[in-house]
Amino acid sequence: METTRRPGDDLLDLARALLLLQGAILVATTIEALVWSAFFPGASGSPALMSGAAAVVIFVGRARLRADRRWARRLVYFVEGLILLTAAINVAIGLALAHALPPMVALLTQVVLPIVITALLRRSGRRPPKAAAISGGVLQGAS
Amino acid sequence: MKTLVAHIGHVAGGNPLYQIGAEHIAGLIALGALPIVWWLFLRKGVPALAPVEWLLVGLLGASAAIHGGLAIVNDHGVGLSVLFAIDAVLLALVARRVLRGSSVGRLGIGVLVGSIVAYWGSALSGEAPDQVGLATKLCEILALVIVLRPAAPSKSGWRIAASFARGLAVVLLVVGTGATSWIGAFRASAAEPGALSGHQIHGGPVAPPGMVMPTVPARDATPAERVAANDLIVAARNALARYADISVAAADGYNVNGIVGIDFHASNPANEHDGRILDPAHPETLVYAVAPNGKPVLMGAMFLMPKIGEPGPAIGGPLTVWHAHQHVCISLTPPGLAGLLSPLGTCPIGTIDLALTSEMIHIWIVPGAPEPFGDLDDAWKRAYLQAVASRP
Repeated sequence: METTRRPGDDLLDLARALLLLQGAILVATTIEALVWSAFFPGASGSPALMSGAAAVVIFVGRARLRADRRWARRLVYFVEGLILLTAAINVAIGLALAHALPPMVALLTQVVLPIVITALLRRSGRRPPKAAAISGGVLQGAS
Repeated sequence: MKTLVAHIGHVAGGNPLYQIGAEHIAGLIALGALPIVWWLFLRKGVPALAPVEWLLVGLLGASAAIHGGLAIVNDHGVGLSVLFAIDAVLLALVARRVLRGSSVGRLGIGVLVGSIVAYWGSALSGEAPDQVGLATKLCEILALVIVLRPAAPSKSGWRIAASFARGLAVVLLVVGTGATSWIGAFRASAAEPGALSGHQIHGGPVAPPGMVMPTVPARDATPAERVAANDLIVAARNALARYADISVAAADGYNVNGIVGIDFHASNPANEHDGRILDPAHPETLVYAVAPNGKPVLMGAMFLMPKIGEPGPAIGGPLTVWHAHQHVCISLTPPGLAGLLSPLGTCPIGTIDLALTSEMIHIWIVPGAPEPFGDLDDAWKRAYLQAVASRP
């Protein structure tokens, strides 16, 4: 079993905590979308399906998250990008139509949370400068 | 600044769910004072904590500060102030433990779970949730996520099961917070006289979630307003009778394809931009319901103002109250209604949040409708449709 902690592991711990909260919010959103689709005649099930899929991606990405696993981070980046893109549209619509920013909680869960998660994953994925320099030196010496 | 103030108080006539309650401003002020306390504490030296522990301290401190502010200023009496104060002290104590490098222990888990469950109780009892309360609960749930995280990754079956159970508990807490907030928001609006159904509000102070009601003077309609309202209904009945035949409606540009349910709105995009306001002969939308025999029945019409923020002409005074909708989630795949913005701040993936719509009013032309304007009771609609279907 691996016992040594890499420099980015602290940041990954933080990212995992935030991803669990975000995944839980997506599960709640999926349930709400299913309930609403029963209220609105003719409503399609695609919002519930997409939210459910996003929740699964977040949970899988969280479970497989390691400093050296790029694919897990890319999965999460994809969902965060989607949420941020929608948030940008929502902010633009809110300012244009209601002359107001989206509600505080929406800003926290749709803007702050995805940005922080993305930043944490990017930083945790970087190799520390010292280690990079040493490995570079070893490679140069070997050649 | 105006964009921020727009969410404070019930100024927009919407539900507090999407706003900051005026009595919760004290909590935000206390939160603003937190950095000063922080600075005083850090003068003694900066403890060596992992990033996740710093976040935990921040979340606990923020929740403690907000509860402290609410203990000083709230309009629910001394009892609740004492409970807020106890919560604030306990949360601060747990934060102090983390800063000292100790485990939060059962006290920390108990305080956080207790605070979240107390919020559920408050919402279920009809206290309208607002943005400060919801943000605080999300902070506490995130703090609980951090507290409950496993100390080290493990491949042991028992530990994996325990980790899964912790994750499931967090999901249940988030889902429970969202569900109880919805219940609280709807109960708060239903608790007000005449506010049980959004369209029936005549000056009720709390609108249902997703609805924006203008402030209407609490008075009876004048004789002139009654005559004007009656004339409007008669004119609408005469002008709209031809649309009982959906082929006529289709020929005039109404989207009558796929009529389902008892509240199908067939819009006419051309009429939305024709410059006519409350013209009984050219409504922006027709409302149909499907009778038990499968035939569509014209129930009435919905009139829409051309511009967002422009008030509709209340020609019948308190009888003809216009309303708007806020934070409606619109699906893009395919286009259509997908719900309301969640208390957790999200619309489903693939949908966008329509912050505000134009003002609108319904006119029901079916004979005997108990409410000619506003909302028509679903039970009444079903009984009417049953009677229509049973006619030879």
